[in-house]
Amino acid sequence: MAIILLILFSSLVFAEPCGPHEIYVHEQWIKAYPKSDGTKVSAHTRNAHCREIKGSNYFQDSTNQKFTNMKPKIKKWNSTEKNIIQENLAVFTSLLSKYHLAEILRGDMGGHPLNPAASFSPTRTLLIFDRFFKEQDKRVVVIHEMAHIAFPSIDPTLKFEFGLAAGWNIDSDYKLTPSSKLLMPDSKDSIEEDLTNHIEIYYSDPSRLMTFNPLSFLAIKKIIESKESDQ
Amino acid sequence: MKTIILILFILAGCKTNPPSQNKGDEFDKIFHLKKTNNPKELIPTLGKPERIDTSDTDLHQYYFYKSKDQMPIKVFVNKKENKITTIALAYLVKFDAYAYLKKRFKNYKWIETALPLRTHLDYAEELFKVEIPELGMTFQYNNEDPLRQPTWIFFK
Repeated sequence: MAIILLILFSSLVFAEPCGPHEIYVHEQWIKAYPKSDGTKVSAHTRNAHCREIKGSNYFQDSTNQKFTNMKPKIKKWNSTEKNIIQENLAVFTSLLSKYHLAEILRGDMGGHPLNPAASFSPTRTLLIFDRFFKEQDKRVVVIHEMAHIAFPSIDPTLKFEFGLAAGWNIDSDYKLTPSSKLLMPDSKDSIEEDLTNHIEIYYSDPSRLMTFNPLSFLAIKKIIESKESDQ
Repeated sequence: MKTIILILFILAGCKTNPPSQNKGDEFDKIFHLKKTNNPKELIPTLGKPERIDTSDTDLHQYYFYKSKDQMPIKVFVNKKENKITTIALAYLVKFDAYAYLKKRFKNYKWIETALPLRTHLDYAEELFKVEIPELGMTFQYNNEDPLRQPTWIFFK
């Protein structure tokens, strides 16, 4: 019976998107290795799965993570900085407060020198840079980064509908092109950046968003309503 | 006991199939269209387009975006030659798209190229371009996206 169950559940390859308190782990090929007691483990495929984040919203002074497209110098938090972040997280919207963070890191800078913060959704990590503490409205920065954290769990059909509403298109040369009318200059970088900019403005200045593009406003409203029901 | 095993088999079978987006199989429809590149095959294969954009001087653009039974598809037709040139499929799935595609097209030569890192961003990105020349298929995916969704898959 145990063997039958093992065979059955070893074929569960296509894990569904994870909940706000989980990290998605890709299917991986594990090479053969010996256990500490000498038992040999054969090479095998470890199926995609969701891993629960246990220590959430945890401030860290260092990390083992390597960030592919930015190289921030990670430094220690001071208590004032931690309080500022905690204050901003505490007044969060009901949607974004559902998304647990595995690590909150303090870095000098990352990406564009003007970036006040960054986020890494695969590991649910929020990075706060020096520039963050000079920002007038710190809350919108945190909203924006938490929207990046939430992005992978948004229904792909709703993301697609947002893309259309915001004016994204494709041409016959495989190019994905943004609308000529951008909400923010960096909206052109990707649908993800455009969508997170929209979520930021939806929460901070909804009337501006409604005036800017009523269709994309409605698409964002639909996304947010769909995520409000997530556990 | 037999009943339990039967139920487990049914449950596992349901779970192993990629979610319902795979029904109707857009890939088969697209490969069928690419065999002839004949625009007359479009409506019998994909249904009525929601919109046809004729504003481009060289191309007709057919939008099949709103069908409940199939994922969004855009087709480019060369006006002069009256032939399908490119088909783009919006691959909207809720599972690890890259892992699924890798399994589905494992019998074809798969060319994968890392694209230059965009170091000004404020989020994780590591883009790869995949080409399957035998099928005229190409797409990009972000390796840092947990579900590695390509968004658009192009067929030339």
